[in-house]
Amino acid sequence: MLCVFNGVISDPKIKTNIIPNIEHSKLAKVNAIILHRTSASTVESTLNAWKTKNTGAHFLIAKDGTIYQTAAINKRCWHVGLLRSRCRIEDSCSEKDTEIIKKALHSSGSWKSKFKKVYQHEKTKDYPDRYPLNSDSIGVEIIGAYLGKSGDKGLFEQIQKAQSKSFLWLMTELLEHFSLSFKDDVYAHDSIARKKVNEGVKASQLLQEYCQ
Amino acid sequence: MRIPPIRLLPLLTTAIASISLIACATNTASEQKYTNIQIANQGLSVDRDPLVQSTCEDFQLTESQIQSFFNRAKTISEQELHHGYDLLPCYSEGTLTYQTQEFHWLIRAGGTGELTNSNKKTNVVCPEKESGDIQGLH
Repeated sequence: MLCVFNGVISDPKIKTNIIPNIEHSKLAKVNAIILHRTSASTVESTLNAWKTKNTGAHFLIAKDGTIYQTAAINKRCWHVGLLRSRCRIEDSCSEKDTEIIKKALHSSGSWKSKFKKVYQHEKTKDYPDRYPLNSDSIGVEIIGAYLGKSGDKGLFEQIQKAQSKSFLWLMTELLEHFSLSFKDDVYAHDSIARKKVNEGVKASQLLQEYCQ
Repeated sequence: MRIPPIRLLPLLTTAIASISLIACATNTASEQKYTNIQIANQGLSVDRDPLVQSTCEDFQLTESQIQSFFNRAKTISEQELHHGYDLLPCYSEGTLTYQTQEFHWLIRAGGTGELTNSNKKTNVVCPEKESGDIQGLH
């Protein structure tokens, strides 16, 4: 069981390293956990980058297995990005939904605005009809460089043994703390947003194998 | 490999900087740093959703637009790309020559791209305010 004070976990396995600029408004309800990779091979480069930005995630797991809590779990982090349409991916859209998405994608304006319109449409739905947003999810980042030679379908660095152990411990605790299901409420970043194709996929598989 | 920054020459004055920008837009000698531009595939999508795929088919660039893109692009790290940009699913790709070496180029809708060969990968970005005139890029 996690001991949490004002959103900060008190546990010898977690190093508190709160970065105030990646913490945003109140995170009232946590519906899901999103798994990320950093595209950087060291903790230092990621922490330094987050200190100068307003994007980041709640937890960071180093290659040696050290877990850093970088944002309070009652605060939102901007870690999701442009959400994809869940019903399109799962082939469950209503005709009306499909029409709205089609119209958005073929609308005039910039490329980003087209995909942003889809994202805004998704935001009108309740979870789990849509994928999790910054407003209802926790982000867990695992250190690892992107190894793809070209394009967005490459792999990330392998998750180290120590990372894997820490990751599975943290996920077990978080899932219990928020009463979430490992099957239904944990997402690889790429599966829900416009990012590299394999981001978070291995971590997600690791968790599924561990829990089943 | 290093992407030549657009402002390399015009450290001097704003006036010279403006001339340089215009030169880029009009495809003069400064645009010839990237030569032998070959377009292999246009309007591709990493997303398998047919609706997204059909949207991406509209992502078509001309040779001179590709040249302008790389001339104006600034290099960013993999980490900056990862955390700072949404990677839109539409892209085009091909090959080009830079300083006698052949590279594979890839440009995504929204203004990010990359140049790769067997030794190196360089991620680049062309912000909208600096490349809004490259029609269909943003």
